[in-house]
Amino acid sequence: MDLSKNFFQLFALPISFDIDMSNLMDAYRSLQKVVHPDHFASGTDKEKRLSIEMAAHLNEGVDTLKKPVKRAIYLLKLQGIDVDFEKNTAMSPMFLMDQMELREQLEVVGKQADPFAAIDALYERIASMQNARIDDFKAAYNKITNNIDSVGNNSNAEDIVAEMQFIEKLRIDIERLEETLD
Amino acid sequence: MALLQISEPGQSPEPHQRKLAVGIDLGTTNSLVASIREAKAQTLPDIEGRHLLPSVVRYLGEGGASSVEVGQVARDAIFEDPQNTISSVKRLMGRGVSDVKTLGDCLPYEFIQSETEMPYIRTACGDKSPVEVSSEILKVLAARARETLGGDLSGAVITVPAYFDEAQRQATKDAAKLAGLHVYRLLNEPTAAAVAYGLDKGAEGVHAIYDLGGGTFDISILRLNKGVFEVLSTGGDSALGGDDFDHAIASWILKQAGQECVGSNVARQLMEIARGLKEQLTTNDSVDVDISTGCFSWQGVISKDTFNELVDPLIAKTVRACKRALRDAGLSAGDIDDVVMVGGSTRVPRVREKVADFFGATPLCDIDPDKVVAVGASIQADVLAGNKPDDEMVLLDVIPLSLGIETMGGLMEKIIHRNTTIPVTRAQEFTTFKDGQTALAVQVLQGERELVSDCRSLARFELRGIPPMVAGAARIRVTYQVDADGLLSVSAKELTSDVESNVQVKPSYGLSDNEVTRMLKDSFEFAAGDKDARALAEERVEADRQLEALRCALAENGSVLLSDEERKNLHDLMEVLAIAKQGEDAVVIRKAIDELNSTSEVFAARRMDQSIHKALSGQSIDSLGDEE
Repeated sequence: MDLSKNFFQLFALPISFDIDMSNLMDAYRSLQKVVHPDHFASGTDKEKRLSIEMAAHLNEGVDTLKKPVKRAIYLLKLQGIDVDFEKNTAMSPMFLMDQMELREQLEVVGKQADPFAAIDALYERIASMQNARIDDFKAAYNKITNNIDSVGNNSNAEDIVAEMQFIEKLRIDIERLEETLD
Repeated sequence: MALLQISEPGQSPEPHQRKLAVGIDLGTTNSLVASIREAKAQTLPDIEGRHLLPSVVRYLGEGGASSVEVGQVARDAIFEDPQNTISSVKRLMGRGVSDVKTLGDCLPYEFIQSETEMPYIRTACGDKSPVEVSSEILKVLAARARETLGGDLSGAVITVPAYFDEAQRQATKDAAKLAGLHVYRLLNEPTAAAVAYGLDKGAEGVHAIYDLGGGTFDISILRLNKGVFEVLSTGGDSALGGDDFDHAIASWILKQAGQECVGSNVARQLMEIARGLKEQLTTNDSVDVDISTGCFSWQGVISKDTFNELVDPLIAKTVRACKRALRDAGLSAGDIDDVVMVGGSTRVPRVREKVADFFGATPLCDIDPDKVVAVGASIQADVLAGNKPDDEMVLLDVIPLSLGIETMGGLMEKIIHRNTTIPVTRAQEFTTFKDGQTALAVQVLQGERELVSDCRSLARFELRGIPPMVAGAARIRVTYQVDADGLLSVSAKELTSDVESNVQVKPSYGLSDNEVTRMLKDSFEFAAGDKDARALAEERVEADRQLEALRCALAENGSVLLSDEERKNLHDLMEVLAIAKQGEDAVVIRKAIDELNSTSEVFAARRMDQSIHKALSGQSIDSLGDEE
């Protein structure tokens, strides 16, 4: 297995944001069937080490391609664009306002009559926000790959991904809050 | 009666002998051992025909001679000798003294702080750690399996709740080591249940496994697809189970009787009575209660409605965990094809009712919920032992809790998120925050919460010798690797200077190496030999394992993948190892193993490449077939 191939090549998929999930999972499963440590419980130490390394690589690959935010970041990386979410401050005021409002809601969730229902509502809201970003990203990414937008002028796709990461961070914070309620 | 060892047709991987492998369900209340016999996975009974071994250990120390009783005979002594009779020890595994105090409202044992954080229980045979107590249970099960199967065991798969953290897993592995068992794999209980279930029914699709045992609750969402078991998510509570139902009833009785806290013996008696009431309430609408203990007596009635009210908050907690697991899997309740019920506590009708409501499906409980986990583990053990070379079953499991690192301000930064498929390797870069800083402390954490103080600390180590630089210039890469057992190792490296530091994570609540050594010495299995003899024996076994593995590999495709010279080199080194093995020096054997290993690396890599090539070409032929 060539660990230097990119994840799309690894699973024999075209490089694109839209991927056929069942093709991805079929390729992943048939590769895991071969390299997984389950097959090397009685193998030599070298085989075991190699097997863990490859199985971990496959897991990393499928995790990257399966999740929209990670996939978007990875696609930009393949275009030579490293997204640095911490340094990206050029978010639209509208977006930041939304985020602030959501964060405020999150802070008072614990005091609601039914905090679990309030959390579910928050999850739904950010899921739809994220879906809107995904559509935007696809359009921006197509521009890059069709050379309408050159690599040097890619700020749009980058900004969208930064927002996606922002929303993902919020989702993790909701998850964390949920843990504390139980 | 002498037992004949019969190989099943088509299963014996000739010319190699079929290996004896077992699956062990090390439960809070009961434990079981299972194996493949007559081509069928089944639990093994003791000579009296009992399959369940109560997970109770009693230490007897009369007249200077100490002995240990395990199982029903120990359970019978719970009231007579509460301080030396240890039950539900699984709840103490991998726990610190402070955890144990919050757990045990009325635990009758006397706890002692050890050199590590692990609590010891004072007994008539001396102070015992939960790991030692568990190993007594494992020893009895292993002996039962050896007698029934007629030979030494090559290895075992031991099940743990999916929600067990790193410390609890390590403690379980330590217990197996003490019992002299080779652990092929720690397997999550719900996954084991799914294996038993899936192979029985040949069921493809998405399954929820709802596992409510005596002391733990697990929920797992799995997809079964062409022999691949993929755990999509898992969640639960490692301190919630049927015991809490009993506890709720016992507290209710005390309240009705106007009693405050009672002595430990009475508390235990009450718990037993409560357990009985719970069982009767599965079929009756109300049960008369008549209690007279040493310190109070009470007569009354408990109705099913009262019982339901008492347990509803506990069940609601499990349903919330189900919801989270679904969300982590990216699914909703409607996507679940069926719900499998595991664990004795799923016999409670209210539990079935609430779970059916949530998933909108009738829960399946047609496999004995007490046995299904052990049966699944034995199927996996058989696969891992290599008894089914043509079987394509693969288990893709996940880590139950996030792993992270302490960052500035006492915050936990997640490096591997929970429900990530294992094995997994992930690295993250950090930097120094002070000019000239030459060392960096790495605090390894487990948990979901944001503050370090709310997470469990697994280990702490330091990376030293970083060349002095301005703040922020150093690039320190911290790498977390989790193997297929869910066990973690961590390394840190400064990239500009190549300074490196590694740690195999030994959880703070685990045993120290000194403790393990002492226990191995104490344990009567190894009392006869000294440490060197043990090392020698271990290296010989390892040598055999490596030689056998390589022989199989060479026979399979050595002539295709290796040149004559490469093959000769390997054969020579195998010969060297075979000779070293006859000698008495463990170090010489280890050296020969290492040398053989490094020479066989190329072969291992080529074999792997060839298999991958085959797998991929097989796939494209399949898909061509589909298009026609």
